[in-house]
Parts: sequence; structure tokens; C-alpha cells
Amino acid sequence: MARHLVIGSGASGVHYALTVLERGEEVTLLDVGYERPTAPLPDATYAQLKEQLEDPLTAILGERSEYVVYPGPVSKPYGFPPSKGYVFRQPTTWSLTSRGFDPLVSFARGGLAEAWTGGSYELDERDLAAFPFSLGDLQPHYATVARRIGIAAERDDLERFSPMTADYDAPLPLDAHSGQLLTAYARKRQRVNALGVYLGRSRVAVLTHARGERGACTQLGRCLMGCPRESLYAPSYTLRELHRFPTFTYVPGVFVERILLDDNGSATGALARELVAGVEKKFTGDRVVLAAGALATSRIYLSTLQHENGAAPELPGLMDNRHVMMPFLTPSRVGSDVEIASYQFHHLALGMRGASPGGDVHGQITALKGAQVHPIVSTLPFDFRTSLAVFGRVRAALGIANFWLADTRRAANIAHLHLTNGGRHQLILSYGDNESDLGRTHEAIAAIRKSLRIIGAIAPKSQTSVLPRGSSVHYAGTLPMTNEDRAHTCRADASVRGFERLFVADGAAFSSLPAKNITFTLMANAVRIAHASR
Amino acid sequence: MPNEWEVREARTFASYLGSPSFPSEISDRYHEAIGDWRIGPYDRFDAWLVRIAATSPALASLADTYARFARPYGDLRRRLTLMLALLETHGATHAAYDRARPSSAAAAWLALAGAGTAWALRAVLAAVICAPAHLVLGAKASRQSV
Repeated sequence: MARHLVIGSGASGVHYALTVLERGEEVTLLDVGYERPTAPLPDATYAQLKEQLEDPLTAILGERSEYVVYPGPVSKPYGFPPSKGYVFRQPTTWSLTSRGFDPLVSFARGGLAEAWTGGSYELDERDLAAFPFSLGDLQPHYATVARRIGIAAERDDLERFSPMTADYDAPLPLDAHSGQLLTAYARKRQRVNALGVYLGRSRVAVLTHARGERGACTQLGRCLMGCPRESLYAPSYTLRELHRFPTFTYVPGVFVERILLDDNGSATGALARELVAGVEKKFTGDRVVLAAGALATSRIYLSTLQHENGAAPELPGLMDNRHVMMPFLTPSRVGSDVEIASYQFHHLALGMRGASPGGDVHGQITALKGAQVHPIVSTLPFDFRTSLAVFGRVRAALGIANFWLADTRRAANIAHLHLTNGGRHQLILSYGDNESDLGRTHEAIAAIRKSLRIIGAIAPKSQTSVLPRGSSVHYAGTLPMTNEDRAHTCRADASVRGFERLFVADGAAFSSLPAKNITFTLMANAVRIAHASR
Repeated sequence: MPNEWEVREARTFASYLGSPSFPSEISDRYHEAIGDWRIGPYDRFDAWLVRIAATSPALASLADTYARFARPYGDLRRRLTLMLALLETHGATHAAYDRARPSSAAAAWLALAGAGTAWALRAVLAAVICAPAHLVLGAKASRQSV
């Protein structure tokens, strides 16, 4: 029976582990593993939470109000609450600096996808053009993951960008604003499509009917805080499922320093540091699977080379989706009421084809319903009292289109390692845009703004922001899968060249970065790799 | 414990933001959070804006109108943001913020036009009152970038 040593409990790690456990093999999963706090009053709406909690100020704004979102040059229309603090907490053993890149990393049980908004889109042939396997190799695994996590979706115009080969659940009930935009799109489809833009329902990993321990979405409006009914999928639910297998061992509280290799360069295990005791510990396995997330995986790989060779190379090809945030107002909805207790995230999605796969755009449209008021009101161009009065009248008319551009591997965008004076390994990321990035971004902004106008929504130019690189949270490409026999790359089965029995199951192994949210594909690809490891 | 002036500031700001009565817990949290800030007023003008805004809701409105353009990330705007966050989160005061104000479209647009006109008039008045103080007390800001 094969013994798999999996590093990281994010979307990739847990689905790799579940696949091999289901066929009776053994898994040890190493994880820093900061835990999600228990959600209070699981049946209360967001408003009821404020009224029924003994101390809502601490629960929502933090003990010292440190989660208040203050106005600043780069303002965000929302902030994560304290209940999501575990997702972004970092151990002192982790060190990262970056230039032109502002990344988020997670050491939580479930990884960064614990803060996922659930967008689940199958890739198509075009998205996989740079990958060393075909769509047919991946599609069956989308079906497996969709069955495991539950995805609400509907067939519509977006199928031309993202096939629907898996079994999907019925979509969520549409909110009034999103419904109005979709109706307007149906009437004016030709004009919008002429701009290359297509609109449809977003496909989200949210349950519309109960599944095991997870309940169906009852529209509590607590999506951002972390769904107390577990309707919105998070990888920690799959991690919980792994514990049912007698051949599964979970080791939280350890930070993996490097991979252990034998004299032939075969991976035999991992060296990890216990976070509390500070002592080093060795773990062994027949197959070592890096699934710590693209950045942490890159660090472990580079630390291993540093230890083995006395020097670590630069890993070129770091990728991230360019992220644009475009707030809009639908004038015909001014004065309408809004259902505060409702599914908070996106109901609509958009797709746009570029001249090449690298020019594709994918977006998600969120109509404002229940939300924190202060981050939005403080950015309106008036004093607070006027802004509150205006906000009350236009709340039902506001929305945000978030969209992302595809990225390709470029030699100048690198991850490398720096040995600090204290002997610690620090990951250094360096990312630079080129002219074509900016040109494509502005073309997409113009087309999407025009499309919104056609369906009755106005997106003021001054409110649109191109966010810093790193904000998409989709990092990839440092150890890409390719058929070319090059160092620091993976084969199609995700085995790392130059090492035996070492695999990369996360985004680090992606050969290109499609515009679509990659979390669903990360999970499906991890299942594919697990099947290939038979 | 906040002193009398600090309590008055919290009361004035809460009243300006639409909650004239509120639990003392909000005032306590407000001052605790400000005590934790690592940044204070940028210059004497920033501090002056807070001082006159704390005098009455009407002056808070004028100072805030001016601060929105002259000190959008300054001390006054930060304090008002903090107070709004506390008011919209506390069980006793959240209802005033967790809602839309539904009406007919015509009434809504009329209300928006009214709010816009009142804001424009207030902006002129705010400029008349605050600009001289800005010139005198905010000289540092013109020599250094904020």
C-alpha cells in the first residue's frame, strides 16, 4: 500500500488525499493548520447576529476595532472580519518579500480557499493550450469534484467559455438587481456580444440542498464572515471527511522546511519544524506531494535545492491574474428596496475572448445587498451625512464587477530564495507588467464598461481600479508542467524532473493561468494527479 | 476612561452620523481604538478639523465636507469612519444603517437632488470657514506631500 506524504491542506491537498484514501492507500498530511473558529448562532442572519450576540463589536470589528476599514489611497469596499483572521495568520517561520507583487498566503486548515467566493468554472481546450495534457484528461475529474463539493449552476451563454460536463445543482435564487441585469442582457444580447462580452449566471460552490453535514443556503447574509451552515464550500470540510479513513493521519502545527532526499535524488519525506516546540521532525512517505499553495510550495522546493546544492536557482514564470474592480450603479433601481439577508456574493459572471488565450477575461458581478456600510460610504465623494443619505437611496442600485485577465509565464517574473543573516529562508517575489498587459487591461475595462452601460448600469471611470498584482490570489507557474525536458519543471503527471517520487499538486505546476477562477481546476487537477499516481 | 471632551466628541460624531443616542460601550470602544492608532493628526490643521467638528453636529458636517477633499484620509475622516463602523455593528444602533430607503423612483431622485444641492451649498460655506484655517495651520502640508 503506497504511503503518500501530502504537504498542505488547501484545495489541492485535500482532494489529492481524498482520492488516494478512497482507493485504500495511506496518507499523512502535514500542515500548519490554523483552525476556523466556530461560527456563533448558526441560524441567525447577519442583522440578528448583531442583535443577539453578547459582544457583536468584538465579533465583527475585533477586540480593539482593528478590523475597521479606513479610507486610504487604495480603498476596498469590504474588509474581512475577525472570523477570517485564521485564513491569513502566518507563522514566524514564514518570511516573504516582494516587488511589484502584493500576495496573500494562508496557513489555515483549508488554505486560501477558506476565503473563496465559490466561483467554479471548467476550463476549455483553449485554456489548456500550454498544458501537457488534454481537456479529456481533466474533465472526468471536474465531475468528481463537483459531486464532492456541490456546485450551483445554469446553462447559458457562458458555456461558450466554460463547458458544463460535470453534474451541477440548481442555481441559487437570483437577487432582484442581478435578475434585472440578466433580463436586460437577454434583450440586448447582440449589442453586448458584439463587444466580445457574454453574460450568464455565476457557477458557485454553494449548496442549494443539504449534503451530509452541510446545509443548504438559507440566505443568512453571512457569506463573508464564513457560512455557518457550511453551504459555501471550503476545503476544511473535505479535510474533516479525510479523518473518517483509518489510513489517514493529520499532523497540524508543523512548518515544512524542505524535502528529504536519498543519495539518488528520490524524495523520501519532509523535514518539518514543530511550531510550538520549535524542534525539527522527519516524516517519511513513498510519494511526497507538494500542495502548500504555489508560493509556499516554491519556497519548500527552493529550500530543498539550497540545502542539497548550497544554492537555489531563480524560478521564472510566476503568474497572477490581473484583477480589476469596477463598481457600478443601475439608475433604474434607485429608490428600490434591498433584501439585506441574502446570498452576499456574485450571482452573475461574464466572459470575454481575447485575440489569444492570454487575452481572455473572466468576471463576476455582485449586486450589493447586505454589506458593511462604512467601507463604502467613506469612499463616496461627499461628507458622511450626505453619503449616508445618498447610500440609502442608491443601495439597491449598486454593484461591483470584478474581473480578471489571463496570465502567461514570463522569464522576468520570478520567485527566488534569500538566506537571511539569521539563517532563515526568505522567499522573494519579483513581478513586472509589460506594455501588452496594460493595453489588454484597458481594452477589457472599456468593453466591460460599455457592456454594463448597454444593460442599464453606469460604471464611473474614476471608481474603476486596477488592483496591485497579487490581489487575485491566483498564483501559479513556478514549477510548470511541460513536455519539454527542462530543470525545475514537472511532467504531465506532476512529477518533478530531477527528483523521483516528488510531485506538485497545486498551482505552482500550472503551465499558464487562465482568466477563470482556478480553484475548481486546482481540485480537479489534484484528483487527476492522484489517479496518475496509481 | 475618556475625559469629558472625548465623550463629547463621540456623542457629537454619533449624532452627526444619525444616532443621537447610543450605548456608552460605543464611546468606550471608540476611544480605545483611537488610543491604539499609530498615526495621529498630520498637522495642526488636521487636529483643528477634529476639534471644531467635535463642537456640534452642524460644525462636524462643515468640517467633514471640507475634509473629504482637503484631508480625505486624515484624522477626522478616520474618526468618523470608526464611529460609523461601531454604530452599524452594535445591536442597539445597526438598524439605521442596515437598510435601504425605498421610495418611488421620482421621490428618490428628488431626495438625491435635494441632498446634492444641500451638499453644494455646504461645500461653499465649508470652504469659506475652513480654507483660511487650512492656509494658516496646514502650511506644512503645502511643503510636504501627505
